[in-house]
Amino acid sequence: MLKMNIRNKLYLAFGAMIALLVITSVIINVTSSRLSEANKAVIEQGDFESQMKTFQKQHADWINALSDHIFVGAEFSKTLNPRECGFGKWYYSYMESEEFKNEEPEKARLMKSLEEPHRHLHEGGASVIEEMNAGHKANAMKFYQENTIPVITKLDGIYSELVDNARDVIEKRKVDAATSESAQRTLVLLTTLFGILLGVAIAFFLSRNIVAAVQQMVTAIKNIARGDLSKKVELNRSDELGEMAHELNNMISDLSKLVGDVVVSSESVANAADQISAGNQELSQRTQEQASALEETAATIEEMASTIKQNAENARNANMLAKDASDLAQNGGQVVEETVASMGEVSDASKKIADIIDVVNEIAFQTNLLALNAAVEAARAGEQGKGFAVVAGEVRNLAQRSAEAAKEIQELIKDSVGKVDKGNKLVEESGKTLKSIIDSIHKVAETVSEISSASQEQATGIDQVNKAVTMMDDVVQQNAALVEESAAASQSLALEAEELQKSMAFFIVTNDASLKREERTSGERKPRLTLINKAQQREPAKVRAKAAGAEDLDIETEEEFEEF
Amino acid sequence: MDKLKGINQAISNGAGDQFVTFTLGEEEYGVEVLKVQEIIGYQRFTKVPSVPSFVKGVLNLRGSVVPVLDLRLKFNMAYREYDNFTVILILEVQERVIGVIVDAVSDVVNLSPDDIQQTPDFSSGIRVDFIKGMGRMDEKLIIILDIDRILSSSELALLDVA
Repeated sequence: MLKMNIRNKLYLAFGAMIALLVITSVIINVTSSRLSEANKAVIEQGDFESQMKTFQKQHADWINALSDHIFVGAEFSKTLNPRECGFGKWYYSYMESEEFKNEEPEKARLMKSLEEPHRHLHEGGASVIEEMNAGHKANAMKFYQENTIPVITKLDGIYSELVDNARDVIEKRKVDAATSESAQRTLVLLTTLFGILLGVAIAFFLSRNIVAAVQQMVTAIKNIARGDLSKKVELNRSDELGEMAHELNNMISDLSKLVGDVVVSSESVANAADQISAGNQELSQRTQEQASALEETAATIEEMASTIKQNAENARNANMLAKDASDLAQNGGQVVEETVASMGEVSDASKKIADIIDVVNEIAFQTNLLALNAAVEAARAGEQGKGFAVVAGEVRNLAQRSAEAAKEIQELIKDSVGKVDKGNKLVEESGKTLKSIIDSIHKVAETVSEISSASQEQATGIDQVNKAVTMMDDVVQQNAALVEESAAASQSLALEAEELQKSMAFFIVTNDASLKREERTSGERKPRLTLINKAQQREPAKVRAKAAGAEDLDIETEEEFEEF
Repeated sequence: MDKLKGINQAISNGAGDQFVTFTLGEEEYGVEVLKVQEIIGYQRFTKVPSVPSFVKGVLNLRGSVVPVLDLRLKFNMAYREYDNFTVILILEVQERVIGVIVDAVSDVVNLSPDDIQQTPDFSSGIRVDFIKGMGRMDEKLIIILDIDRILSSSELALLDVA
């Protein structure tokens, strides 16, 4: 009984009660149906009795009609066929029906015994009618007296017996019904009593069985509610409550595990919050540094902007200067051209002078020749020619002097022409130089204008950079604000983590769970430790490798370097 | 003025010979003044075929035909273009009149015999017989030519033909 689960127990209990109810109702039903059957039989027997009496009367009428026919000579209108009279019709259908087969033996015997006298009666009637039709009234009377009357008497007797039998049956049924009614009453009383007893027993048992366990469970749940997760429910049952206790235990262990996890997590969160806080501080510092750097950048950019502006200004000035220089150079070019023209004129004049000098030279030459000839002649003339020789010498002297002067002039002219040529060349060169100067100045002007436009672009670029720096400044400010917020958030996070830890202290967990927690925390920290160990182990490994051999050492150091 | 003095001196002395000096290239040459008939400027002359290269042609000098030779070419010096100052000396050589083209005429100078030195001896293979001597005048030397010996008789005959 204890091994069953509650559902089955309840099924069993309510099944027993239902069975009792069913038994009771069956008893009531059976007895009441018996009573109603008895009543029905009484009514049926009543009906049967009156029917029999009607048939008796019909046959009495039939006999009276026959006697009237014999004795009075009245027409006989009744049937002579035993199957066509009222009784006959009913009787033969009844005898073939199921009803008859189920009839009691006494009644059935009596009903069977009815057939022969009834048939005899109607056959007798036919014989009487035959005798009467043959005119044998006496034979008819005799036959009537000797056959028909005894038959109808017998038939009446059987009818009476049937009626009596029916009355007996009714009486018997009435007695049966009374007996079964009393028995039913007793039975119903007994079953009700049993039912009450059973119900009380079941209620007691079930309440005792279930409530104790439920109370135990309630205690456990109260413990959980208080945060005590160290106690388990001790309930060794195989039913639903046992299952419930088991699940509750599972829940407790899960919860304590969860609490442990949460405690660990809250510690982690607290640590993380601390780290975030530290990081925020650093971030804040860096943001400040960034801001100051940005400020410096902005100042530098401003300086640059002013420099660029000055540059542009200078470029403009240079452009103007270049233009002036170009104008001047052009003027110089004109002057050079004029100079060239003047030099040409000088050159022309020199040439003319040279021509004249040529003429003078020619005259001097001729004079010289004449003088020489005169000298020759004078030499030939001897003493007489002396005076002439003197004159000739003077003439020759003059001629030579004029030739020398002409020569000097020629040289001077030549020199001046050469100088003019040289001057021409120089002027040409200077013209070229001026032209190239103009070109250069143009180029300079172009370059300067390019510089100017570049400076303009630079200025716009610097503007953009300035804007960007301003934006960056804004962003840095926002960053600073965010960092502050974040610092506040991390602080509150730390507080929350502390709160959480405090809250988690509410839970009391078994050593089992706390042990698990410690395992977990140590497991979490282990990797870091092992990492450190690995890092420490690396150096000695390398030292060992160095000791191993020179080649290895080279490779190792190279690798190391690459790693570095 | 010095030259004038020299001439005057020569004239007064009557002892020294007078020379007409001319230039060929860098050097100054002299011929006796009495050999010189006339000094004329360069003028066109008629070229004569199949004569030695130094014979340039013939000149019509106031009706008489005078052969002209280039002294540069005769002395195997480089040919020089003739210009306005080129001079032709009309000389009397062995009773013949010839024209000699020189670069320019310098002067008529008086040289005393003291001023004239003998021609220095070169090796025997070189012809120097047409040089009469070296006239010293101030710092420079004047090559005094013996004009009669410059031209060989065959050459003179050739000039006659011309």
